[in-house]
Amino acid sequence: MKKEFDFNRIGKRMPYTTPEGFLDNLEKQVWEQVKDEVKPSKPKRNYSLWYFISGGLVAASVTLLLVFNILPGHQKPDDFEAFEQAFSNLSHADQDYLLTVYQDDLFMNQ
Amino acid sequence: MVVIAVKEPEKGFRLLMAKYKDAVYWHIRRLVVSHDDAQDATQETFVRIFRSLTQFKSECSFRSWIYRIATNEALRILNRRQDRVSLDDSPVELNSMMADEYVDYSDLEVIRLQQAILALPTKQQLAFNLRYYNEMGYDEIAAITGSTADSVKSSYHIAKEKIIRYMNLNN
Repeated sequence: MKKEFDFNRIGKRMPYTTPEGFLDNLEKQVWEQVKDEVKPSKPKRNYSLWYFISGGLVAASVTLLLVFNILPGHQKPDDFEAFEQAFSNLSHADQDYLLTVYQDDLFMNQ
Repeated sequence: MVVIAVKEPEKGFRLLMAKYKDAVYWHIRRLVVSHDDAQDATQETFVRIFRSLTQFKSECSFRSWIYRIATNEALRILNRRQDRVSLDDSPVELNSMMADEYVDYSDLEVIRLQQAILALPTKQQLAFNLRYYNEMGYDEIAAITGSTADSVKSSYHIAKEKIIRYMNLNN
């Protein structure tokens, strides 16, 4: 009696063979072809963080300049002029008193 | 894998080859039969995959995309043999089991099964091979062949019937 064909009898067997190790060689050949064409992508610079840090540094610098009064055009008023102004605002009696007290002061007359 | 391959090409390449080189080679080999042709088509497939990795869009699965490229390479080889191969063509004449150094002719039933498959139109061959050997679903085969799941299902069942008839006739 003729046997009906049954796929299970063969399963996935195939008559094809390959030379030994050819798939490894194939991998090498493909890599030789593509290795110069593909370069690792550079990591993207985080520009927002970069801007945030730069902005912070600029703000801190300006604050320091303001605190220590070293911004150009923001000069301290002349101390001597202020002193002269304060002295001239005093009464004559007070002026005489101060002159009497300090005219012999060693440190002021240096 | 795509992300790794873009960031670290060599690592991605090794992963890709480790996962797909066997499967791709055998898929192509079943279609073109000759080892030399299958080797050429497999090599070209991976070169193309690697060159166009950044163009991969997740409209279909990565595996479907790879098999689609491999199928196109196999069809290109068949096309070179005869100037008219599309998925609808019958490859009866061009796909006869050619003499090849890397075919074991000792198991006649296995040889006959391959002859039966090779006698199918390319569309049915693809549906049968991808379902029977690769155990893929109809949807995935449809994504590879640019068809519909219903059409693939129909092609597979027709192919199976034809193979059984062929095998019973040539028993």
